[in-house]
This record gives sequence, C-alpha cells and structure tokens, in this order.
Amino acid sequence: MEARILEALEVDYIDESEVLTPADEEHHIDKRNFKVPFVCGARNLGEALRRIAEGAAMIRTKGEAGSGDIVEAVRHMRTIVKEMKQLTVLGPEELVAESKRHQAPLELIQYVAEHGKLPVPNFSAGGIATPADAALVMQLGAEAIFVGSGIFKSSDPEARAKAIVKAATYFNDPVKLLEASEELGPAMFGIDVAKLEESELLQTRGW
Amino acid sequence: MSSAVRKKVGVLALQGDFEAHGKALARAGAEPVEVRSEGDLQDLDGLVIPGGESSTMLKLLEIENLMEPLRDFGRRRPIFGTCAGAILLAAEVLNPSQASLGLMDIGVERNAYGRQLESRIAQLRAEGQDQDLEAVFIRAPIIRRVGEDVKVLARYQGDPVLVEQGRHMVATFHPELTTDSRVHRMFLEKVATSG
Repeated sequence: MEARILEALEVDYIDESEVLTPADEEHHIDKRNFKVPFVCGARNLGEALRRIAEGAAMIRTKGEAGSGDIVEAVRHMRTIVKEMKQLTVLGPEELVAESKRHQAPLELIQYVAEHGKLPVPNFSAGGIATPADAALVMQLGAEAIFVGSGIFKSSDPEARAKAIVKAATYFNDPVKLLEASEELGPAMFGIDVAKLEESELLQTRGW
Repeated sequence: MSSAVRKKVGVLALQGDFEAHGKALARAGAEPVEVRSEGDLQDLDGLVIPGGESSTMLKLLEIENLMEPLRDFGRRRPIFGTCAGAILLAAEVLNPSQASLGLMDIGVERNAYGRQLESRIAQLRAEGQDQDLEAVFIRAPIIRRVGEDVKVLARYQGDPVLVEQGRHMVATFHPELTTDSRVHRMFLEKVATSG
C-alpha cells in the first residue's frame, strides 16, 4: 500500500527495501502492476531472478545496509557474478535443473546463460563508505552503486559524495582514485558485520 | 559500412548508458572506444555523448577539465548526443538553466515530459526512412528552439526529437536501447563523410 502512495507521489523509483520493517514477511510486491520502476535487493542469483520475475526494473546486491562494512557487499556481488558465469558454460539441457536449483524461472536462467548478465542493471549497495569500496565493487562487476549512510554519516558528506561518484567513473584508474580519496575527513564509524547477531542483520529479510 | 577500415567512435564514459551505446555502435559497424580523459579523444573519428544524468555529467566534465577538449573535438569531428548528450550539446538549457558545450544551435528543456512515470516508448518516422523507429524516452528533454541551420529529422507530438546541424546530430530519445541500428548508422554516415 505504501508503494501505491509513493507512486501517487510520482517518485522516480521505489526501493522494495529490507531495511524498513516489511509488512509481509513471506511475499514480495507484484511489481508488474505498477508503472513506477522498482529496485530490489538480492544476495544471490536466485533472489535476483525471482525479484525480476516479480517485475523489478533494477537489482542491487544487499550487502549489509548501514554497516560501513564492505565485506557483505563484496560477498553478494561475487556470488551473483560467479553464479552467472557458471550458467554461461552449461548446455541448454542443464539449465532446467539450474532453474530448479536457483528457484528461478527458466526463461530468466536461459537469458543469463546466453548473456552472462542480468536482464536489468545490477547495482551494488550496503556498506560502501570510501572511494576504494566503490571502485572495488565496480571491478567485481557492479554496473552502478547505491550509497546511503556511507555518505550521510561521514564527517563531510558533500566531499565524500563527490569522491564516490568520481571513484565509480574512474574505478580502473588508481591515480584518479587516489585523487578522489584525498582530504575527505573521517569516514562513517563502521560496524563489523561479523560481530552482529544473525537476528540483527537486515540482509536476511526477504527470500 | 562498406569501407575497409572500421571507424573508431568514442563514447563518453563518465556516467550513463555508455555501455549500451558501445554495443549499438559495434552492431552498426564501428569500433567503440570508451572516453574518460582528454587523451582518449586522440585518433577518434567521431564521439557519442550518451544518455544519463546531464548535471552529473556536467560536473564530472568540469572537474576533469574536459569541456574545452570536447568543444575543440566538436569543431573538427562529428558528435552525436542522446538525451543527456542532447542537453550537453545544446546552445541553451532550461529547467533549470545550466552550462553546456553549445555546439548545436538548439534550446533544450530538461525533464520536459515530467517525472519517471512519464517515460515512454513511442513509434515515429524519421526522414528518409520507410519504416517507423521505436523511440525510448526516459525522463527526456524537449527541443524547444531550433536555429536556422538545424534540420529536423523526426518529430514526436509535434516537437523535434532527432535533429542535425552540420556534422553533429542529436536525439532526445535512446536509440541505443533498441536493436534497430538505423539511427546509429545515420550518425556513422556523417562520420564517414566528414573528413
């Protein structure tokens, strides 16, 4: 229902987020009935393809939102990229079993096997706090990045936002990355995700 | 294209959908090159400025001191701007007003159809074509003024959406997001004929 209200507000897209308390613990929104595009989180290829089947226009790897710890974002991006690569070397007769294994529609599994990428843009999110974090996830295969607390909880949000944008553009250019990393002031105070209890994690919400 | 050597066409790769443009150029028979610095412009036969977010691209162009090198390139070689690229090539930009390369004598209003919900796919007929083009408009601008030397190649709802002036060309939609290569081939003809 909140999504309908946001659509009436004419927002540009909706993040079906695991960070706010979900109203439905089992189901995601049927996004095909909306005109406004949705972005959805995923930790692996199966989650990503299920969200796309429901109508997501963009996927972001979940990472661990608000942590400033890049390790989960890296894990999720690596997982999705690796699972996509594995599909590209399989024969057509093997894809049906893969569809079952990933719990994802066969047509989407076939698309990924043919193209080696998702049919929608693949963002990285959840824990990006420095220009180096941004460049790292871009090198791992992210097509774009989302940053929230990494910017807003830092000591100089404006300078950090500019630096992270620059790092996403020049992710393959260490000299430009060094320039982007200079004189930023302290980053946000991070949380070590390994020290969080399972029940405190945001990424485990949704299926 | 029939010429033995494939033309090298740059795609400005600071932000936006440069990857899709690279693929579209390759399908149309050119060799795409990603451009992120002044040195990347060397030896290029033409350049595409892709869609994306024009004010972000403008900031990156200014921070990286690329405005003058791009203007200079445009005095010698063809540039094709789509959506945000059209905004950057225009002489004047409205809603709000912002700096631009000023290589084409057109006035452009940003986000002129409204918000994301007004993004759409339309069918339109370009000049010299016997079949409709599929035109993807994403938070698209509208060309509100065209100068005397500007030729309108296609219109949608009465507004120019594909125009050319001399060696340069501009589309307010995204030809790189369809598999139809005709618009990119039109630009490659300009690349082939200008020097």
